[in-house]
Amino acid sequence: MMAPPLYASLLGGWLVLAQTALLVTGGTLALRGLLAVVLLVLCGVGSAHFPDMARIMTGCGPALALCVWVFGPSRAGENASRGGDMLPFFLSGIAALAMALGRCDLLVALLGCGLVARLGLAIGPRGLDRDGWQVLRMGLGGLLVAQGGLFVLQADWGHMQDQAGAILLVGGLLLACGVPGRPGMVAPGWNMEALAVLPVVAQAARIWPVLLPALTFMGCVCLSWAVLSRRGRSFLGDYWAGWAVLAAGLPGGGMGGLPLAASLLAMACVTPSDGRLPWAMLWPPALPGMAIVLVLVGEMGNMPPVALLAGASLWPVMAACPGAGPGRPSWARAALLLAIGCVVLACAGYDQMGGGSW
Amino acid sequence: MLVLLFGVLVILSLSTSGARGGGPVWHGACMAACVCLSRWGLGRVGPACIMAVGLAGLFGLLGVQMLHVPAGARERSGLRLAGGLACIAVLAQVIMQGPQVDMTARLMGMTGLAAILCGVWGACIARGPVALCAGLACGLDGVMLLAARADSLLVMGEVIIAAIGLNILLATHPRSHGGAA
Repeated sequence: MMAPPLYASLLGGWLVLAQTALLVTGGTLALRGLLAVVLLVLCGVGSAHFPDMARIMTGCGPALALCVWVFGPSRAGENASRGGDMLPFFLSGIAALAMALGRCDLLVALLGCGLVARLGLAIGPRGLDRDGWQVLRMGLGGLLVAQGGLFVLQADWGHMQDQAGAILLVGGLLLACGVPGRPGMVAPGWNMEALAVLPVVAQAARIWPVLLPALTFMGCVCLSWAVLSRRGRSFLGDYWAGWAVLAAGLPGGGMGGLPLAASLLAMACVTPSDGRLPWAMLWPPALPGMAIVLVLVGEMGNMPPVALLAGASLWPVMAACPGAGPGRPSWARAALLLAIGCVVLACAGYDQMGGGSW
Repeated sequence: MLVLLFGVLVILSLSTSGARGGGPVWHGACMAACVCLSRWGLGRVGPACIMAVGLAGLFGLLGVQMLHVPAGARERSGLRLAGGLACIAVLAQVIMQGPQVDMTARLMGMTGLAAILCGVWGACIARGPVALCAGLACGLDGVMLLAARADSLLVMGEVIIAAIGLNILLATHPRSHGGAA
């Protein structure tokens, strides 16, 4: 049990300490692992005051993504620059901080910090490279639109204007996260912004319920974008991002945000190196996939068209060519996915048995 | 009638002057005038005015840098629309003092939103860095208008930092034969 201001200041301290340590020592594997585990423990302890398990799982999302990246199998042959190695640590610390603060205006400011870090790495001898300009276009444009939508929501002009503001806020934030369409290659730390944004927006939807239909609409847009994008460029994380947006738009029912937590955990476990998982891992109980589908379909009982569309969009994930991945995931990743799937199923079963909130 | 004529003149002057770096400067000056007039009308001249004028100065610097990077003049229609709306907002600030303050504030908010949307739209369809920076500068103007309306110093500071960042990015762009990024 930790008070939110103490948690936020501890996260800030971790951020400074991690950057300093990585800069000084050059980032050995042991140090990286230690820092990632410390962040995971910190997030777990800091979110322990939430009453339900789903919120705690959501709060650990960025730290889990950092752990997956640090202990991932494809780190050996990769020779990224030192700044590129430090970027996921910075982004995950910022994401955890944004979730600890939990306010939309500070969320925009923290996303701006992440954007500055990305752009600073993209500056070369000839100025920004092509991907850097694209990141600037999407990131800053999305943040501007989101800030405008937030002002409209705060000004409280009327119902119709609130709807427009909700669409602007959600669309701008998703654009700044790069969820609907990502330029260039998928870089490490691609999912950190989305892992921070979606819980905060889902929390803000309790104050502004007009955000829920906007989230559902944007989730459908993201899913259809992921389905319609060319086969060679499709990326498994895009499907999970669409599912997470869709889950964030569900009205807060009895399960208390469990679909959102499950989708975010699945998103945190996808790394850009292996891109897509072999399709055998999509079946139960190997992946949170089936667990999430079960929970989502259960939640969507009162929204049949959305469930139908989402189910149709899941088909390409299932049909994604088996064996096209660059290599087999290691046993550690498989065990992690198995454990998460079991946790999600256990949570759903516990909730449906009438356990309520943990 | 006179006011309408004046507005049309302002819009015409904007649309003819926006071929190169003049667009962001003109737009930023309109935004600063709008913020200062509304603050003066409310009787609260404070840091918001200074920040708005500073932002206009930063965009002036951006316009000077844009002169040195060649660019095509294709993607400016959205910026012109937003610039015309900004001029109308300035005129409304000048004309409607007194009891219709709420209406001018609402018009200012609408102008800010229109500037954001037009600027981001212009940035989305832009090919080269100059048009991209011009669109984003227009969007930053819109955010500044909305922040002045909502009296949020945090967002104003972010806008200033973003404008400084745009200046740095454009300064690192090679000058000789750039624009092909």
